[in-house]
Amino acid sequence: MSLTRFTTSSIGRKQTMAITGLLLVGFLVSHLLGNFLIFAGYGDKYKHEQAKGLQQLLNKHSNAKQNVPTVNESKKNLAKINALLKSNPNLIESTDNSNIPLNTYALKLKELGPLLWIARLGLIVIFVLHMFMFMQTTLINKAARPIPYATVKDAGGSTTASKTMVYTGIILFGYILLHLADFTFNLFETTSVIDGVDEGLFGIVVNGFKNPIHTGLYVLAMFILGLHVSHAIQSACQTFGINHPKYNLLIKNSSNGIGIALALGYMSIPIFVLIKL
Amino acid sequence: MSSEKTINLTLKVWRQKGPTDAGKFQTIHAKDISVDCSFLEMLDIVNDEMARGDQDPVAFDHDCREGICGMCGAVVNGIAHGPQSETTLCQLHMRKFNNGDTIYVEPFRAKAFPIVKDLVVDRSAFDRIIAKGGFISAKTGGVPDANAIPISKVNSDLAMDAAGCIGCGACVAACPNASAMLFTSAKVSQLAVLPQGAVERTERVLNMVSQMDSEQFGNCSNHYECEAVCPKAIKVENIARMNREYLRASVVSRD
Ligand code: HEM
Ligand code: FES
Repeated sequence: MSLTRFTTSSIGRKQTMAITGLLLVGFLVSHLLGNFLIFAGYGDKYKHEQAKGLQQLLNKHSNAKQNVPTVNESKKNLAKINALLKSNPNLIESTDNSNIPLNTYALKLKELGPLLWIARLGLIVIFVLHMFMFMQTTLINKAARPIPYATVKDAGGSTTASKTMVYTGIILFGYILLHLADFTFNLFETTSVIDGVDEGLFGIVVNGFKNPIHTGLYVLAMFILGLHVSHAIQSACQTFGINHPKYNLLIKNSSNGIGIALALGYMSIPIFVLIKL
Repeated sequence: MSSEKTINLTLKVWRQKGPTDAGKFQTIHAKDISVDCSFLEMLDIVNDEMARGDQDPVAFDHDCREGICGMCGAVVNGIAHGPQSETTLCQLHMRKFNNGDTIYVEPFRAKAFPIVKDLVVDRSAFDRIIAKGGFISAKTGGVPDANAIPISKVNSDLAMDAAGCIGCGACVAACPNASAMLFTSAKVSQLAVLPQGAVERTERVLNMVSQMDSEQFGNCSNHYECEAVCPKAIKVENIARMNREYLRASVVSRD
C-alpha cells in the first residue's frame, strides 16, 4: 500500500475525511453522555449536600449552633452567607464540590493523567486530519470550476445539509475554539459559585448558561452541528462504498436521525439550565 | 408544456470566440419555433437566420441526434441537458417550453473541459481517463464459444447499466465541484463486476482515478446532482463501487 498515493488521491482524501469524521461523531456521542451528568447535579441528593456545605460554612463563621438544615432553610441563610463570602473570598476555596456528578466525572478524567493526554492527542490528530483534508478538497473543488454558471438549478440530488457542509464545517471550527476557551481553559470572566457555594465545573457551566445569549449561541451552534452530521454519516457511508438499494433508506434515515438526536441532546443542556434557574 | 403550435423565445446564449476569449451572453430572439423541434433543431433554425444575416452562428456539438452518442450537451436554465430528466439535449423537445420563455444556454463549465467555442467544450479528458484502464486483456486466436464464461444475471445487469454511460459530461457539468466521479466510476464498474475485468482490476481503478485527478476535476461531495441529470440514469451506486474498488486496490497493490 502506498500511503502517499492514497492520501494525495481524491478518493483517499475523502476516505480520510470520512473516517476521521466518523471518529469525531463517536467522540460527540461519548461527550454528550458525559455532559448529561449535569442533570444529575440537580438531584435532591446533591441539593442536600449543597445545603450541608452551606450550613457548615455558616456554623463555622457565625457560631450559631444548628442542625443540618433543609434546602429551604439554608436558602434563607443565603444573604448572610453571601455577605460573609464577599468579605472573605478565600472561604470559597474551602468548600468541597467533588460530590457533584459532573465534577466527579471531570476529576476522574483528570486522574487518568498521561492517558488523558494520549486521548486528547488522538482527538487533535483526528481533528487536524479532518480539517486538512477539508482545506485541500475545498480548494481543489473551487479551482475545478473557475467560471461559475449564470444560472444554477438543483436537479434534485443535493440537500441543504450537503450544500452547506463547507460552511457548517467552518462554523463548527469556530465554535470548537470558543467552546474550549469557555469550559476547558476558562478564558472568559466567570464564576463557579452558585448561591454562595463553589460548585466547581458544574457551577461554571450552570452560571454560563444562565446567560440567554450564551445559551442562544450554543443552541445555534448545535443546530449547525446537526446539519453537518446529518449529511456527514450518509456521505461517509457512500465514501466507503456502502450503498445498497436495500439499505440506502435506512442509512439516510439513521444519518438524519443521529444528526438530529445529537443536536437535540446537546441543546437540551443549556436550555434546561436556562429555564431551571 | 406548450399547447401552441409555434412559440417565441428569448435565448441568452453564451458566446465565446475561442479558449482565451472572455465570452459573454448574447440575447437572441427565436421566433415561430415549432414545438415539434428538438432543442438542437431550434438552434439550427436560429443559426440559419444568423448566417443569412452575416452573423457568426452559435457553435454547438452534436452527432447522432438520437440520444446515444453523447456528443450534444449544454446547461439549459441551470440544468445540464435541460429540464427533462433522462434526456439528452438532442432529445429535448421545444414543447417542454412555453411561449415567451427566456432560456439561458451555457456550455458545460469545468476547468477540465476548456471551452473551444461558444457551447463546444473539449472533453478529451474523458478519453485520457478511459485510456488509462477502460479495457480488458483478451486472448487472441479462435473465436471463443458464446457464454463460455458464466456470469450471474445480477452482475451482467449491473455491468450493462454502467455501460449505458455515453460520456457526455453532464455529470461534471452538474456537479457543484465539477467532479468526474460518476463517469469514471461507470467506466470502472462496467468491468469490475465481470470476470473479464478481473485481470486489470487493481491497476485499472488506481490508474483511472489518478488520471481523473490530474485532469483537475473536483472531488465528489456526495450531492448526487450527477445522477439527477444523467441522460442514461447512471446510478451513484457506481461511485460507491469505485470507492470500494479504490480502497481495496490501495491495500492490495504492490506498488
Ligand atoms: C464535531 C466535529 C465534526 C464532525 C463530527 C464531522 C464529521 C464529518 C463526517 C462524518 C464527514 C463525512 C465525510 C464524507 O463526506 O465522506 C464530514 C464531512 C465534512 N466535514 Fe466534518 N466534521 C466535524 C467538523 C468539521 C469541521 C470543523 C470542518 C471544517 C472546518 C468540517 C468540514 C467538513 C466538510 C467540508 C465535509 C464535507 C466533505 C465533502 O462533502 O466533500 N467538519 N464531517
Ligand atoms: S447528439 Fe448524440 S446524444 Fe445528443
